[in-house]
Amino acid sequence: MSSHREAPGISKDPVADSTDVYAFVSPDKPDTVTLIANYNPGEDPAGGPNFYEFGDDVLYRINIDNTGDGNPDVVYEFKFTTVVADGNSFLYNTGPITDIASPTFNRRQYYTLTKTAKGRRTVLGSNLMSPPCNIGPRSTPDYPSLAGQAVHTLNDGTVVFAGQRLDPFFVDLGSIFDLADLRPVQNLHLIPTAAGAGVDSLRASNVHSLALQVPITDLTRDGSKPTVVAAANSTIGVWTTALRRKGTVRAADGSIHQSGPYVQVSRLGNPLVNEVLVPMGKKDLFNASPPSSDKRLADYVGHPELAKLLPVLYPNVFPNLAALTAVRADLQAILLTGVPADIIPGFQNNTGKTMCDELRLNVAIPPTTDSPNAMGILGGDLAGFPNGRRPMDDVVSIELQAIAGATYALIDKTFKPDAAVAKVSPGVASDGNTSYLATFPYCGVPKGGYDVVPRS
Amino acid sequence: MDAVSRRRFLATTGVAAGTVLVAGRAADAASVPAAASSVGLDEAVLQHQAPTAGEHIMLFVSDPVHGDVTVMSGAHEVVYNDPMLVARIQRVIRRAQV
Repeated sequence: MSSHREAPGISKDPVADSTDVYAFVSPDKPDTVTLIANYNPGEDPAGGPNFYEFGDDVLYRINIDNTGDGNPDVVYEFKFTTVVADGNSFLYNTGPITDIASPTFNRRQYYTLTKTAKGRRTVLGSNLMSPPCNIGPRSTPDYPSLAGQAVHTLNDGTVVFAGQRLDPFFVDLGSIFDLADLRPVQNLHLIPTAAGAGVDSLRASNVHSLALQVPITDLTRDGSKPTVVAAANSTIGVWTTALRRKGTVRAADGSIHQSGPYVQVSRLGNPLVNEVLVPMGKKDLFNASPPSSDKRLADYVGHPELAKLLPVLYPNVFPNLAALTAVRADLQAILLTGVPADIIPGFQNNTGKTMCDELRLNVAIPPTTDSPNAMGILGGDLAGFPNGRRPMDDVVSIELQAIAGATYALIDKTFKPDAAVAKVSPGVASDGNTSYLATFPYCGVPKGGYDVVPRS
Repeated sequence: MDAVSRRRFLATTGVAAGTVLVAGRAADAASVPAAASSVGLDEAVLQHQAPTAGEHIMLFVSDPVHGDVTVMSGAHEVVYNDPMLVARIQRVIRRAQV
């Protein structure tokens, strides 16, 4: 998946497992940037009686680098506290929850949002409430209203939401992890079957979202709202991290004691970097490391294993890719340094020579409000991935096509991408099941447990 | 991670040496000597002050060969070198395994 269960260690710790990061200039409020970090992959909407929640013992962060050195310059930190109204009941809710303050909402989560910038740590909001999970028509009869009550506008203008959402990511997991099968072209696979339509494996999966909408001026290095795309201050790098206490002791009575400093256990900037490009033996290390140490990723990105596998798994389909042995500077630019000027007309999101996996957003590029293209820059839409990332961007197809050679021609005009590159896609374009919202927090209403019927 | 002396850490956290042998809470302090006695700690080690209420203290012998000890309290962590303490802990473990 994008980063769902992408490493051996974090796959066993879902509340700290980041699934996706999104950063985009808000289409309805273009003076702001929306930042979203999703956690808790593959939530089954019917997963009661202990429905999904954030970890009280996890420190969640959304980090912004506005100087290009791989270190955070602005950090938003979420810390949760769970309160159980009636510990003598096994119920998540003791009646219909018609309001997030309803006394029937038995297991509640509150959080504190703290911002650190320029050496100053500021509590932006405390005792902020998360909505319940979407359970069903009897327990959460008007879920959109409940979620709306959990959108908080803070004193400094920051808008924040933390709670369950429908996973905006879409991908055909069943096929892609079956030896990189892509159903629309699986007739060309080394082990062929008849071509078919893609299947969105996450169409009924929820996640827990941390969403912020902040003025652009809060994020740029000089506090300005850049308007010149080529300007150095126009690009920010975004990633999320989750941290846990270093020391944990599990007592015989079931209690857990924790102590010591927080250490990073999860990290996510660009989609699929740790999932697809970092080898198995280094994935846990990636999750524990800062972007500033990502120079060691250069070879994995520069010589991606998947680029070697595609010509093998799809015989005679990728001859030009098979012959390409040079360092993939195109991928290194997209994922580790940002795309320099003069490569794509009217675009750059380069942050310098420091190689670091950050989701880079050029905030001087206005949002595309009229028919945004899910293929982002590959589709001619400069407001889409890899210029930041919107929930609707088809990042799997974009990255697969880039790895298959689509973007190498940008830096080597003599290279001709294989004809099949445009077909390299799971074939799961956003089909409406993801139900994006037009306004904050943009990710759709989560599926309700009662409403979801398991597939065969 | 600060490398500080054991004395400085203990002064900072307000606890004596024996306390860090057991991860626990102040509320459980009364049980510490009994539990420790059961594994053979000597009386000198048991002379300790209770940590702050609700505060956990965890000790991790990060390098037994060289005697490096990591102590975590609250959000803090210190690493110091105390081969004698590590040796005593190892003796306690050996006795407990008999």
